[in-house]
Amino acid sequence: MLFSILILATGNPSYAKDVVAFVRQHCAECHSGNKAKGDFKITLPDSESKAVELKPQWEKVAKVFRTGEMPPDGKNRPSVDSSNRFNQWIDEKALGVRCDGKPSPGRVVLRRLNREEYGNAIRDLLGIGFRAGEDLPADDVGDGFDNQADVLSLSPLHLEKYLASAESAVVLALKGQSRKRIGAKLEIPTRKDQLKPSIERFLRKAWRRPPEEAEIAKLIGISGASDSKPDEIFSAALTAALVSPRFLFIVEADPPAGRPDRRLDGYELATRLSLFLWSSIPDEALLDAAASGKLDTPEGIRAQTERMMKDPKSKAFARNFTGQWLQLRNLKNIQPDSARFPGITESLKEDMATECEMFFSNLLEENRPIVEFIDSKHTFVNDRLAKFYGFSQSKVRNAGFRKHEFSDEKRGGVTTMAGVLLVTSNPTRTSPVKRGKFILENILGTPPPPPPPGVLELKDDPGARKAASLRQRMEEHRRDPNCSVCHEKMDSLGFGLENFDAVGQWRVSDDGKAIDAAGLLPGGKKFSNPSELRKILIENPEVFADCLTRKVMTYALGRSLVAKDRCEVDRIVSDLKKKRWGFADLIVSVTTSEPFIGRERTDKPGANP
Amino acid sequence: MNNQIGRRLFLRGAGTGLALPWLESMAWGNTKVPPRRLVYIYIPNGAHMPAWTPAETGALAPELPETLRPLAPYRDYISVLSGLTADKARANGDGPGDHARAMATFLTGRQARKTAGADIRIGISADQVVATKIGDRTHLPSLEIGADKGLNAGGCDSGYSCAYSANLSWKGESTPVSKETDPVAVFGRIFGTTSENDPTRRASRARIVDLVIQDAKSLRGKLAADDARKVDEYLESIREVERRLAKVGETANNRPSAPEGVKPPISSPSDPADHLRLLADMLALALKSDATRVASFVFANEGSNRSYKFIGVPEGHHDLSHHGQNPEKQAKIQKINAFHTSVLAHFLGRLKESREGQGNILDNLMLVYGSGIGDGNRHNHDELPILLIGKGGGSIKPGRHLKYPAETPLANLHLSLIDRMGVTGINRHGDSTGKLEDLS
Repeated sequence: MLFSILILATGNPSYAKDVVAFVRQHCAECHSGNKAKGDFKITLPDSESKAVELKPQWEKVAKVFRTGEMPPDGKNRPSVDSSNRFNQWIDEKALGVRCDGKPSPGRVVLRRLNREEYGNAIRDLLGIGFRAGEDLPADDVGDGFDNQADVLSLSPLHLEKYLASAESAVVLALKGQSRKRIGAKLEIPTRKDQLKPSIERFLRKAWRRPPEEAEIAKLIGISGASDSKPDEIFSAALTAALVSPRFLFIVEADPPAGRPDRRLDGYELATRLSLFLWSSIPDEALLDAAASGKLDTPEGIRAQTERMMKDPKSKAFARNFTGQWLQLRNLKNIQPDSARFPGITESLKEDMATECEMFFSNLLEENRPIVEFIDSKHTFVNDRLAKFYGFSQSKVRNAGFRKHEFSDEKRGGVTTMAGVLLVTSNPTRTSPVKRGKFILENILGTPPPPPPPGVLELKDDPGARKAASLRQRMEEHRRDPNCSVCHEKMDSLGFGLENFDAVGQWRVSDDGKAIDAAGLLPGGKKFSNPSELRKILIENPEVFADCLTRKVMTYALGRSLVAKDRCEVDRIVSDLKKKRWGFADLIVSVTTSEPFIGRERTDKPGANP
Repeated sequence: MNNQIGRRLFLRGAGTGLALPWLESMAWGNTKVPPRRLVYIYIPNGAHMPAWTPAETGALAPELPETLRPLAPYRDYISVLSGLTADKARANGDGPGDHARAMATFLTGRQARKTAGADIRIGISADQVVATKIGDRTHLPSLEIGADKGLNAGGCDSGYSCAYSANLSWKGESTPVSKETDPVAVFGRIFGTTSENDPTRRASRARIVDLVIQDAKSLRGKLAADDARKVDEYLESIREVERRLAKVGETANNRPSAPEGVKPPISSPSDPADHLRLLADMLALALKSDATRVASFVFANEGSNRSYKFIGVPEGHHDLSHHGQNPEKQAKIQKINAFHTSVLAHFLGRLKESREGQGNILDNLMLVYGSGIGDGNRHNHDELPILLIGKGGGSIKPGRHLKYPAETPLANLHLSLIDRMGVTGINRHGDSTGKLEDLS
């Protein structure tokens, strides 16, 4: 089997026998001494107590070992039993992960809204079409997503823009209001005694919880002059509320002293839910659910999650998640060589992204099995995209996006969608390596390590192109044992998609040579075309389920997953199997999981100053 | 031709030509001596070194190496510095990720903590060291611009957060300074926006800023240390806004105003070459009007795979940089390098046009131009392509090719320039071992 799923053994593993002897037998040949392969050397201290201090080392070992990447093919395979004990030792002793107790929720550091969330929040608060997030600096990406607390930093440039954009948005909203009421119910006070309730209502929504009296009083007093008009005070107060850290940050209180963790209260949970599923702030219904205690039970969270998934605002989830998981946001930066691939316009690229988003939303809406991400009998196209793919045209022109049932086995699932195929290609040709890497990272959850520096590059000049096909040149190139460890897997997977050219159109030849989309995966699995490759990829749905669950959780929590999150990931995957892999079920499992509903105390010294 | 478009955008309604007077009058506080300026410009993926490095050391020959040829008119202001090394950009046990490390180390001289998301950490960058010390003398302590926003999706480089490969300037060890990519917004930052220039709006802003500072302080008190650090970032940033507001409010003449005839650009050009040149124009304006004395400018993020179709290079830059000694690919890399030096030349032209004291801004400039990678194929971090441009107010003797001993830290150059910017009491920056000899 290509990727092994772990079954935990019981009993207490011994350091000398299950770790030292194991490492010597299976790892040390390559990973010791000064010439350790992959720039990675395993240290084996004499005593167990010293060994468990090498946490980063064991994290790395666990990762490559669990995914079956190491030991590489051709080396002696450890027995299932010794592997399990080795894994168990790393988990329990070195990483302190035990899945038999109450799962621990983990901790997200104070995170700010990213630009998507900021823009949507302003829209939902003020009911204006003002695209407030667009002027903000790009958010840095961590773990593949732009909503990760640790890398979302703040600079003076941000604050300048928050200030300017809050001013403009409030002016725009109040002006619009005086003409006619739109969208959100902003009640502009005309008398001083109306100020307090108006501001209070606004803060509850903007700060995602009922404001304290003192907070309201401070905002009312903002003008500092007693002769200010109520609408002027209101406008200044709203602007300040939108620049306040209580709007910009997702504030969650720490567990009280002496407690390792706590359950989030309804309001905190409402904010997590709305950021996850809408990339925005909670609506009234969600805040009401928080106020009435409905979010204190799994059933209540499930009900809200289901309601929110059906709301049109969940399009933001589809767009932001697929845009990053499937890297569709990079479509903007990709310019295929127009001489070879004419007609790849911005609108066509936008259609490619829409296809993936609609496919995603549809799976969510109908609770369809997640394996359809890998292989499906349908997709979504408009006229332009149908023409691009060479699908039979709809009789109705300008029919917009609609479901398209495939009439053959050429395509199915995200790896055959043009957007994905395009972002994993070079401007002038396909890149089986990038495509293989994409599958490893985003479908199988086993990202390959990058190449060591100084490796020889593929010959790619016109002479070489004439002499041999891309595939032949890559096979030649791969003979180097330093490369073959990863490339065998990566390239085989990528070659399975060679029937799709660099922009995702079906082809049977390249530079006059017939396409050979056959492949042999490590472990002996064979395929002869993209369709057979997909069948192999879904043979063990657990593998993809684990990968997708981790991606969704990273996105939902706004933090990197840590070793102990494995317990909850494993539980979600096994629950999901019982439910036939429904995508909506997966989302509910995440929103009711311990990491989503709880918060842990910081383990860093010097906390709580 | 492209150049013309850029000019038109920039000088909308300004008539023809860049007449010099728009600059002469800019005040430098109360002093009659023009200030020194420190600018860093970054290019990604290394360079084709055979077309970069002059054959001889000492005085630059009349004929510059091919990549540097666009800089011929400014030959007397150029020092080619060979042999500098960014040791902390090497793996040093952290495995692959040379691109992310190259950018992150370039101005910090520190080893980036290897992390994809949690707990990013590097060090304070040279420009920010200077900005922190002397930034209060100008409207903006520093200006950070670049052509690329962050990467939008996917990992950036081998387990390193994208923060490392997209940010050149670091204000704190975990706090990158975001760069502005829109020339229109850069103009606003330099000369103020309508609301900043209106005293009533300014007063209202000041009250808002005051209130949220109190708010942040009270919030901070309730948080654990790691959360409080995030609020500290907020507090530092909002205080910077407060300081600028106060500064605008002073009637002092250190408030820059747009030179007569110069109007804000209409929009951010979609043509990548125009975009870069217009950003360069904005930076030139900022320096000329003394809105700031410290800046960083990222021509493209590290590891950028941008296509340079408009100069006949449709392939991705990063893909090409792994040239495998293929001469065709190396020639294309060289073409990209030369395009970037042509943008640099455009920028230097803007600065040279404006008289200042007895000379022009280049006389008072110290501009470091280069990459944290030497050869893109080898991913080496020694033998970096580095130019130092300008005379640093007479403290630098350019027009030469200087070759330093192998492994001389790039940070030594930073330390030398920090010193020349009048920042005292700094004896070390990153992995520096001393100041660079022989610059003057």
